[in-house]
Amino acid sequence: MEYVLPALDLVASPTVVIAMFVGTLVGIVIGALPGLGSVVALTVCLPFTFSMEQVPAITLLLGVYCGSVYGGSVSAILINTPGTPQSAATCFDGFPLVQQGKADKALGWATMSSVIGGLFSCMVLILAAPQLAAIALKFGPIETFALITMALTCIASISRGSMLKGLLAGVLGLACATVGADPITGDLRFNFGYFPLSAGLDLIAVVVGIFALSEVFIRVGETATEVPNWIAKSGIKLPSWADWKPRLAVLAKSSVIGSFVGVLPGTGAATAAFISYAEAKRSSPRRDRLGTGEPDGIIASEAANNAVTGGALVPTLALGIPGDAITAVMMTTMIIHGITPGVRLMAENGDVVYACFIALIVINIIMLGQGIVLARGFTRILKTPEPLLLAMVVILCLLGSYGVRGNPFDLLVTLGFGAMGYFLRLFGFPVAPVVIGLVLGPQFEISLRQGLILTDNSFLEFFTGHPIALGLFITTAAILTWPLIRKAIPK
Amino acid sequence: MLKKALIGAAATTAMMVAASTSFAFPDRPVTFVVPFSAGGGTDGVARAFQQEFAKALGGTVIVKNTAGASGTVGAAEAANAKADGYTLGFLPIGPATIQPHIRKLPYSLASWEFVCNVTASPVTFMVKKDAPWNSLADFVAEVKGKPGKYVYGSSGPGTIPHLAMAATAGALGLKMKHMPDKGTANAMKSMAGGVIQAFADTPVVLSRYDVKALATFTAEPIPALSDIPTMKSLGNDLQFSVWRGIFAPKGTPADVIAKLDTACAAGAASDGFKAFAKKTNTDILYMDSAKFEAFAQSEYKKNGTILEKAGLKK
Repeated sequence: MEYVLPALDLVASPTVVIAMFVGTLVGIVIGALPGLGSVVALTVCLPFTFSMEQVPAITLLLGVYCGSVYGGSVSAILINTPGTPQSAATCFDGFPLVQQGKADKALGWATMSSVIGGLFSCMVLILAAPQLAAIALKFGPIETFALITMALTCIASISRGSMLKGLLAGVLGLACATVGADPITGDLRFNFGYFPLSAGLDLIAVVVGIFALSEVFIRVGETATEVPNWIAKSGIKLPSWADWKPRLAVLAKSSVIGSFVGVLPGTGAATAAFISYAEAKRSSPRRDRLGTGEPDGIIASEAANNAVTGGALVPTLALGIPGDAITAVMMTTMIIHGITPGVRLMAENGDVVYACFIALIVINIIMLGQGIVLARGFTRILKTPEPLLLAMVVILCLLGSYGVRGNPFDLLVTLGFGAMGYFLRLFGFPVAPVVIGLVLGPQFEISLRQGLILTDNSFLEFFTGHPIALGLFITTAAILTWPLIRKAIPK
Repeated sequence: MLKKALIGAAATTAMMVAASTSFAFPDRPVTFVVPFSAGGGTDGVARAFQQEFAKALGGTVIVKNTAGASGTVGAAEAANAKADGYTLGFLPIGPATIQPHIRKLPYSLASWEFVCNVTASPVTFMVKKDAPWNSLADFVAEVKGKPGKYVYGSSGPGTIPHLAMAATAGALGLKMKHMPDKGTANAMKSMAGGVIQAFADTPVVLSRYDVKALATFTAEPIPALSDIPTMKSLGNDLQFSVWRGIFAPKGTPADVIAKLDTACAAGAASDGFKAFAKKTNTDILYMDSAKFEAFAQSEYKKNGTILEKAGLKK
C-alpha cells in the first residue's frame, strides 16, 4: 500500500495521461487493421519510447498492448479476417452476427467482454502476482506438455461439419510447425535445401494468408454481381443487463481461463482464446448455437484474450520471464529505462510497478470509451465498395507479414497459405485448426522433448511422477469423452 | 527489380565519381541489419549505438530487423548485400562464428570485411541462489557422485550458454544431461522451477534472477565480481564471452571500412553509448578492424573445436 500514493502521483502527470490515451488509440487502430497485430503495433512505437521518460514510455506500450489485442476483434468481426491468431476465435460468432445485420451488437459484445476480461486480469495481477508466479514455476516441461495437449482438444470442438476434416487440418498445422530448426538439436528440418525455409513458417504470415487472403480469394471468386445482403448498422450497441445476465458464467469462466493461461510463459492469447471457446462450446447452455452468431462465442474469445494481458505481465514483472514476443518487447523497454523486471523489481521499483497497475486499469477504461467512439468509423468499413476493401486487405496483409521479421520470403508464405486456405475452404475444410496446430505445435514439441530428456525417454513417467500433469491429462480425456457420456446419460 | 538495378547503377556511378574526386562516403543512409526482432538484446544495443555512430560518421543510420533461424537470415542478407558500405551486419557471436559450423548457410566467415567490435560480456557459470553448492568443487563432487542425474540448461542448441556448458562438462568429466530452452528467460524459469541445475551466461543474468555465480569463463577476474574465481585459476582455461560487432560484405573498399571503423571508435567512446551501457549492464569493448578480424577468426576456430567435441558440427 505504501506505493499507491507515489504511483498515483506518477500516473497523474499530463505526459502519462497523453501516453496512455495515444498508446491505446494507436493500439486499437493498428490492431484493427487486418494483418497487423500487437507485435507490429509495439515495434512501431518502440523507437519513440527510447527518448521518453520511464513511466510515460512504459504506459505508452501498455496502452498499445491492450489496445491492439482488443483492436484485433474489429477486423475479425467485420470482415472475417483476424489479423492475429489471438482473435481468430472471435470470427466464429462475430462474423455470422454481422451477416445477420447485427454488426453494432457484435462490436458491443466484443468491446464489453474485452474491457471486463482486461480489468479482471488487472485485479489478478495486482492481488496475486507473487502467488501466481510461484504456480507458473511449478509448470515444468511435462506440465506444459499436458496443458498444450488439453488445448489441442479444442480442434475437435471447433471442427464443425466433418470432424475428420477438422483433425486433418489440425495435423497439417502441426506439420507446418515442424519446418525450420529442431528446437533441441538445432538440425534443420523440411527446408528442402532452400535457405529461407530454415527460419520456419512465420505464424503471422501464415495467419494472414490462411484467414485474410483466402477470404479475399473466396470473395473474388464469388459472382461479382452479388452484393452482401446484410444491412450494416453503423456504430456500436452495448449489450443490456438482460442480455448479460444469463451469460455471466461464460464471462467469468473466460476471464479466469485467460488470466491463468496468460500467467504460464510460452502459451499466450491465442491459446487462451481457443481453450476458452472450446470450454464455452462444451458447457454453455447455448452451445448448440455457437458458431452461428451466438454472443457466448464472442465473450469466450474476447474476454479470454484480453485477460491474457494482465496475466502475461505476472511472470514478466515478478520473475523477469516474458511469456511471448509481446511481453519480451515490454521487458526490454523497461530494462532500457533502468527498471529490471524480476525477483528484485518490487523492492527496487515498487512505485513504478504500482503505476503500471493503475495505468492498466485506466487503459482498459480508456479502451471502452475509444472503442465506442471508433466503432462508428469501423462499421463504415462495411459500406466501403468491396473491390476497394479487398484491395486494402491484400495490401495490409502483405505489409503485416513482411513487418514482423523483415523477411521477403514471408510474403511468399502469405501468398502460398492464402491459396491453400482458399482450396481448404473450397473443399469444406475448416482453416482455424491449421492455425491452432501452428500456434501450439512448437510449444507442444519442445515441452514433450524436454520432458523426455528429463525422464530419460520414459513417456510413462509423464503420468506417474507429475500430479499436475496427470490432472490435466485426465481433464483432457474427460473433455474428449464428454459428448459421448452426455449422450449416454438418460434424460 | 528494374528500380533496384537503377539505384544500384546510380550508386556505382556515384561511387566511381566519389573515388575519382574527393571521398564522399556516406552520401545516403547506412543500414545496420540486426538479425533478431526489434526489442531483443542485440536490437537494443544496435539502436543505442546507431545514434552515436551516425553522429560520428556524419550521416544517417537506419536499423533494419531481419529475424529468423538463429540470426542467420539477417546475417545472410548483410553478407550478400552490395559491398559498398551502405549495408552492414550488426551481428553477435552466434550467427558470425557458431552457426556456420553447424548449418549449411549462404555465407561463411570468408564473406566478411571486419569493421569493428562494439561490446563483449564475459560468461559466468551459475547455479540457483539457494543451491547447496558454494564452489565449483562442491558442484563437481555432487555431479560426479550421481552421473546422469543433473541437467544443465541453455538458451537453445548451439548458443554460447550451450557451448560454455558443453565445454565445462567435457573438461571436468561431468556426466550431465542438456535441456535447451527457447531463450535465456525461459531457461531461468527452468532454473527457478528446479528443472535444470546449472547454466552459463553473462553477469546481467545475475542481477535479474535468483542465481549465483561459482566461476567466470575469463582469464582475469571480472572487476564487478572480484570474489568469483576464474575457470583458469580453478585449473581449466575455459574462456567465453558474448560479443557483438559490425561486419561489412566482402569486397567493401578499404577506405570505406576505415571510415566506418573511425566512426565506430568514436561511437563506442561516446557519453551517450556509455550511459546506455551502464543502464543495461552492457560491457563496451571496442576493437579496431584488424584486431577484430583476428579475434573473430580465433573465436571461429575455438567454437568449431567445441562444437566438434559436443557432436554438433556438421
